[in-house]
Amino acid sequence: MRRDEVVKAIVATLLGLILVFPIYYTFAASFFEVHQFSASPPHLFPTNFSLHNYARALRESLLARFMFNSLFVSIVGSIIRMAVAILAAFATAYFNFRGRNFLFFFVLGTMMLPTDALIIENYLMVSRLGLLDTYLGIMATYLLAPVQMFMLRQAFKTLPNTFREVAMIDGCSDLDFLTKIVLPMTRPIVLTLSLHSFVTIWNTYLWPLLVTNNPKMRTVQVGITMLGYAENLDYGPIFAAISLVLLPSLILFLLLRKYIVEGIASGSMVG
Amino acid sequence: MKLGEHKFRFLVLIFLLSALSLFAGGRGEDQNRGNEVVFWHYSSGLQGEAMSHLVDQFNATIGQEKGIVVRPIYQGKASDVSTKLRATLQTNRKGDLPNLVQLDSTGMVDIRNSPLLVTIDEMVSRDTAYSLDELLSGPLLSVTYKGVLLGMPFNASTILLYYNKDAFREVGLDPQRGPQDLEELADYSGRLLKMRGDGKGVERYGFAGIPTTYELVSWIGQQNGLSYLTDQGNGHDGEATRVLFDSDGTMATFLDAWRKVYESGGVANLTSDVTQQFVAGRSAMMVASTSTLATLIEAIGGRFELGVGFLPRVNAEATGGVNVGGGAIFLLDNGTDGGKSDSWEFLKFLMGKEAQLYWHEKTGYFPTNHATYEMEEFKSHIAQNPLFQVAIDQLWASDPRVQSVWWPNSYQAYHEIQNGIREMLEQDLSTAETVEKLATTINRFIGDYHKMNSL
Repeated sequence: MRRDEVVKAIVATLLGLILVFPIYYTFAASFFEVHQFSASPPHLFPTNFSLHNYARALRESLLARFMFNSLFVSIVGSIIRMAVAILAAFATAYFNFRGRNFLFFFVLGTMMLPTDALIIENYLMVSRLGLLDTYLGIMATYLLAPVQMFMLRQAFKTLPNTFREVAMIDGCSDLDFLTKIVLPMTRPIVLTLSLHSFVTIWNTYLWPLLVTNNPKMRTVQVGITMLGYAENLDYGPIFAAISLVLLPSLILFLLLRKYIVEGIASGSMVG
Repeated sequence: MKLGEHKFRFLVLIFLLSALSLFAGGRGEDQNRGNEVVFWHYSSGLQGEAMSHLVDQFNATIGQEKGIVVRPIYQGKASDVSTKLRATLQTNRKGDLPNLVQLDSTGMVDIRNSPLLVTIDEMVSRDTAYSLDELLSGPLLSVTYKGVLLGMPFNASTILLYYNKDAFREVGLDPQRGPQDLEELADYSGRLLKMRGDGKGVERYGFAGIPTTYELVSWIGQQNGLSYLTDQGNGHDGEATRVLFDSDGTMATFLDAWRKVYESGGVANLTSDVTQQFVAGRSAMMVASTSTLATLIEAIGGRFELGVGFLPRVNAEATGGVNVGGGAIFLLDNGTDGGKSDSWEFLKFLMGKEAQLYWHEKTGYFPTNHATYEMEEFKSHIAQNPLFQVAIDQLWASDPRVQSVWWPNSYQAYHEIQNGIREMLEQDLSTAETVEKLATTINRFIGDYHKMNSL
C-alpha cells in the first residue's frame, strides 16, 4: 500500500506543478527585462526583483479603475441576470398560463442565434440609446440568459410536487415559496450558475471593447490587452498587470478555500 | 410571517438597488468637454511615449496660450481604431466622434466618403498663413483621394529589410549589404539557415514571414516601373472595382520569384511573432516597417548588430521602389470646436519641423516636413544613427505614385493573401491557381462592398 501512495503523491505533485506553472510564470515574468522575453532557450527565473514593470503598468493604464469597472459590471450584471433567470424559471415551472410553453421555447430559441452575428445590431441600438461608455451599456447584452433560465427550470422541476402542494395548503405565498423552499433546495445549481455568470461577464472582451471609448470605463480585459500591441516585445507590464489582477482572487481563494469546498460538498446533499 | 416580510422587503431592496446602480452611468465626467480636443490614436509602446510627450509639450506651450487642451486616447492597434471609427460613423451620432483620429490604410475606405470628414484642403483654404509646400509630396500624395488631401501624413514609413549582421558574418556574407532582389534573398536564406547541433530541427531560419497586403503593395507596385493591385490607382482615384494583379501578370511574377525564395529551404512561414523570432536570433532576416526601428534597437539590446536595407526588388524591371505607408491624422466634424480651429492648431504643431524631428528620433518614422531635414539636430542624429537614414534613402529612390491599397474588408483580404500564399508554398499548388483564387476572392469582397453600399 505504501508504494501505491508514494506513486499517487508523485503523480499528484507533478500534475500540480504543471497546473501551477502558468501562474508561476505570470508572477515571474512580471519581473523580467525586455530581452529576457526573447531569450532562446526561454528564461524561467527572474534575476532582479525591481518593480519597474509594475510601475509602468500602473502608469500606462488605470488598473484600479479597470478592476472596479470589471467588478461592478460582473457583480451587478450577475445579480440581475440571475434574478431575471430565476423568476422566469419559477414562472414557467410552477405557473400555468396561456402561451407559457410558447414563451419558454421562444426565449430558448434565441440561444441558437450566434452572438457575433448580433454584435453590429446590438452596438447600433446601444449607441442610439445613448448608452456608450456607460455601465448599463456594457451589461446590456448579458442581462438575459436563456441558458440559466432553462437549467434553473429543470432544477426546479426535479423537486417533488408535494412541496408545492403542501406550501399552498399552508398559505405560503409564491415569493416565500421561491425564497424559502425552492432556492435553498437548489442552492448548488444557483451558486454554480451565479459563479458562471460572474466569470462569463468578467471575461468578455469584444463587447466592452466596442462599447467603451473612454479609458476610464474600460474593463480589465480590454484595459490589459491595450498594454500590449502588434509590435510589442516587452511583455513585462502586461504580466505585472495580470499579477495585480490575480492577486485579490488568489488571496480570497486561499483564505476561503475551506468554505468553498465545504459549500460545494454540502450543497450536493439534498434534504 | 413578520420575518418573511422583512426578508421579502430586503430582497426587493437589494434588487432595486442593483437596478438603480445601472443608472450610475459613469458617463458624466468625460466625453467632449468644452475646449478639449479629443484625439483617438494607435500609438503605444515607444511610439505611445513619444505621442504623450508631444501632446504634453503642445498643452504646455501653444495650448496654454490659446486655451486648448488636447486629450489623447489610445484606442488599441490601428485596425481597432478603424473598427471603432467605422462603428461610430455608422451610428451617425456626431457627439460620439473624436475631434482628431489617427488611421492607417485599413480605415481609409470608411473615412474618405464620410460627410463628417473635414478635409485638409478645406482647412488650408481658410488658413492663408499655412502652406502645404512645407511637407514632402510623397506622403501628401499617399493621403490624397480624388485629388483632395484627406488628412495629414503624421507618421509616414516605408517597408525595410532588417537583418542580423552577426549572422551574415558567420556565413561569409557582406554585413554592409542586404539582399538587393528576391533572387539574392533566396540565396541568402539558404545560406543563413542553421540546423541544430543534433540535426533535429532548425536553430535559425534565414528569413521568417509570409508576404501579405503590406508587402505586396510594394512588391507588386514596383513591378514594370509602376503597377497597382486594383484599378482606380489602388483606390486613390476613386472606388476600386476590381483587381488588376491577375490580368497584368504582376502577381504571377511575384509568386514565382517568392516560390524560389521558399525553395531555398531557409524560410519559416510565420504569420505572427515574426519580430520576436528575429529579436531572439531565431531568424536572420525579416521585412517590417521603419516604424519598428526604435523598438527593435531597444529589444535587441546590443545582443547582435542590426542591419537595415532596402526592400529587395522582385526582379530587375521592378524599379518602382516602395510606397509611403504608416498613417495619417484626420479632422472630424463632431459638433464641438467650431471651424475645427483648435484641432487644426494641434495638427499644425504635429506637422511642424521640431515635432517631426522628435517623432522620427523616438520611433523611426521618417519626417514629413522639409525643414526637419535642414536642422542641425537632424543631421547629427543621422550621423550617429545611420540606420535611421535607410528609410529616407528608400523613399527618395521610389516612385511617389506607388500607393498603398484602399480596399474594403482589409482584414479579410490580408488573411486571404497570407493563407493563399502559404498554401501555395506548402501544398505546392500552381501559381496560376493561386492567382485565380486570390483574384476571385478579393473581387468578391469588393463586389459585396459595392452592393451593400449601393455604389
